[in-house]
Amino acid sequence: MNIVNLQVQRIVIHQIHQRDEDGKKVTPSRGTEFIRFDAEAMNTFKSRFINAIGAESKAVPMSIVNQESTDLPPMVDMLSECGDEDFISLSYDVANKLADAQQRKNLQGGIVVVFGGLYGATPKKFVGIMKAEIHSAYGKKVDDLTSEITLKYIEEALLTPATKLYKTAAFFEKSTTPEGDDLNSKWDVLVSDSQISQAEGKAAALYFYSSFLGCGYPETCARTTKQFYDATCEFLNDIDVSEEKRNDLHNALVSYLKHENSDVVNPLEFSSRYFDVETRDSYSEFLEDKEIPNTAFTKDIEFISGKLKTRKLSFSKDVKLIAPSQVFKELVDIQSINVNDAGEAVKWTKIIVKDEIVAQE
Amino acid sequence: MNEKEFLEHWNQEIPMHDAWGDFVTSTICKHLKTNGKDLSSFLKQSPEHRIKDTTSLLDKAFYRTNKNYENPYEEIEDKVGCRFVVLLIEQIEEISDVIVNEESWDHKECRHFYSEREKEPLLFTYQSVHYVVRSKTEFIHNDVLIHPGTPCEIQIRTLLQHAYAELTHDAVYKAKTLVQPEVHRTVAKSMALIETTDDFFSDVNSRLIFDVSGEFDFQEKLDSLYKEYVGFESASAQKSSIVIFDEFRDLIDEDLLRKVERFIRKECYLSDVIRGGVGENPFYKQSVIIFLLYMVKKKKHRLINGWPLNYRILENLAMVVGVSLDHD
Repeated sequence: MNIVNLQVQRIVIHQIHQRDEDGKKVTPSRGTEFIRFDAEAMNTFKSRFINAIGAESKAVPMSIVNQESTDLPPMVDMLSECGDEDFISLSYDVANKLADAQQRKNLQGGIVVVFGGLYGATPKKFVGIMKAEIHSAYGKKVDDLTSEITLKYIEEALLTPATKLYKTAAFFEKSTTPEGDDLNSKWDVLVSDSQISQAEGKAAALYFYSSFLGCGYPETCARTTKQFYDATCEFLNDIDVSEEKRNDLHNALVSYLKHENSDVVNPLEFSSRYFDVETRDSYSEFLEDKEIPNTAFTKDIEFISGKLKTRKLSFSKDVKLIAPSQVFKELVDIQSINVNDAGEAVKWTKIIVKDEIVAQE
Repeated sequence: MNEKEFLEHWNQEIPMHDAWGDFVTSTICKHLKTNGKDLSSFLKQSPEHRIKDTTSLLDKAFYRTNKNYENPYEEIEDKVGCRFVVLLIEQIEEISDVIVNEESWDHKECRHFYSEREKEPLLFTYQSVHYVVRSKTEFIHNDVLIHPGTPCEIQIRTLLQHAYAELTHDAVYKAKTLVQPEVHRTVAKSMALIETTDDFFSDVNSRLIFDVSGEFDFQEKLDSLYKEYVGFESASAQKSSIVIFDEFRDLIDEDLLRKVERFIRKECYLSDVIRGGVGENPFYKQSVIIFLLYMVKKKKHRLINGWPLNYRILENLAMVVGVSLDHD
């Protein structure tokens, strides 16, 4: 999705609170007016939002599951259409809904930012929701007289980029005309949670994307995962590296998809782990040319589980080497040979299998 | 012609020499402008013509021991003169070409440091290029009739040669007092240094031109893409543009240009974005903006890694095209 030309028109904030000692919900504090940012503050806010859900971010597309009138997606639909008064009160319902969804006592409160506006070359609507936890910070202060720099303690700060204490959801109106009542045909949903580490392998905290947003992982992921795998294989076969390195990268791809304990595939994460800067850019471009998302998506290896089970090397004269991928990674070493004993240029491959032959035909 | 007649004749002809000097100077300037020179930077001082001071003219005609004129009025050729001062040796040639090719006068090269260096290779002294041009026909300029054959002396020098001349010409060569040998020696050393420095300047300049020629082409192509897709002329490239091209120089080639063009054609909303940003952000007026939007969309990692300007500018660009800069 191309989130260009973003225009934020309305922003309202409310505050939600951590549950009390008995685990009871504390009523959110209500904001009653629109926030008016100056140009610079608005640009910073938009930057935070784009960093969270823009191209090559960690945001994951989700599909809308709960569509009852009291669920969040229909509320978002209304937010996109309603007048200013209704926007402010509906946005408070959103905050309330998040407070409801935060069942566990240890979940922090925070500021809920509900905002809406237009995006795209031919402008379409969008609605964004951010939950930003409040933390303390320091602000720089310069003495006018002495120019001495001191630090001012700020007890309540939010949306500082490095602390990454925020969760973001965004509903983007599709460019196609919706069919029937299914909100999925009207809205694309992106969810990003900077508090979920990659290692946990989730798109976002369950209470946030499911209980609060009423969304779930989309079902079309098996196809996307296969496309990602096929395209990455093609890319790996094409890049200018030694055969040893190419072999390592293929092993890495298999491990990434098969063994990593993660629900999402993030091409950007894969490339930043295994490629240098130049290669990362050409990889992104390669995926884009093949229309494979450069944002994260849900992993589903159903269509490629067979391929991931084995690693295979094929040579031009029908020599083949096949092994279970884990065994291949551990017991097979390959090395290119470019010159033979007579000093002539050759394209040979030396294979070491760290095992004995048990049968021959 | 005795001194009195000489003086009368001269006083009568001053307006004609004045007009002729003006004609010569303005003609040369006109041609330089046509050749694309910005005179305010190309010429290091105003080339205005000057009528020779009467006392000095009489002195030269009748009292100098080394000048034995048969007919001093005709033979003295610098009754009016003008001077062109430029930065580099090769720029002298550009002015010489203009003088040599002008139709309305005959020219004569009176001195040229190249030939003088050849003649006296061991001597380091005053260096300049002098031409005398004489009008071919009778004509009117600034309401004054100019006779054919009226001379005007044109001097062309580099800035450093000019500095040398300013220091020495009147003081050392025309000085009535005897000059100490060590002063002559110091002055000669200065000229040796000046000649060396002028050569270095030329060398540096030609390398700079060579280095940027590839980028220059790229810049021009970007300018024309800007005009085509944004709809008006871009502002000339500022230092910020140059810093950016310098950083990403290795990426710049024909292939990149094709990709950038395909990009701006495909992402048609960008034209609007650029037009819209011009008001608040001066950066959007430079054609480098097209290159940067391409980079942020297609080569984000390289762009972040080498980004030479304030990070906020990059954040703004990324926001415009909806690209996340978030990375661990």
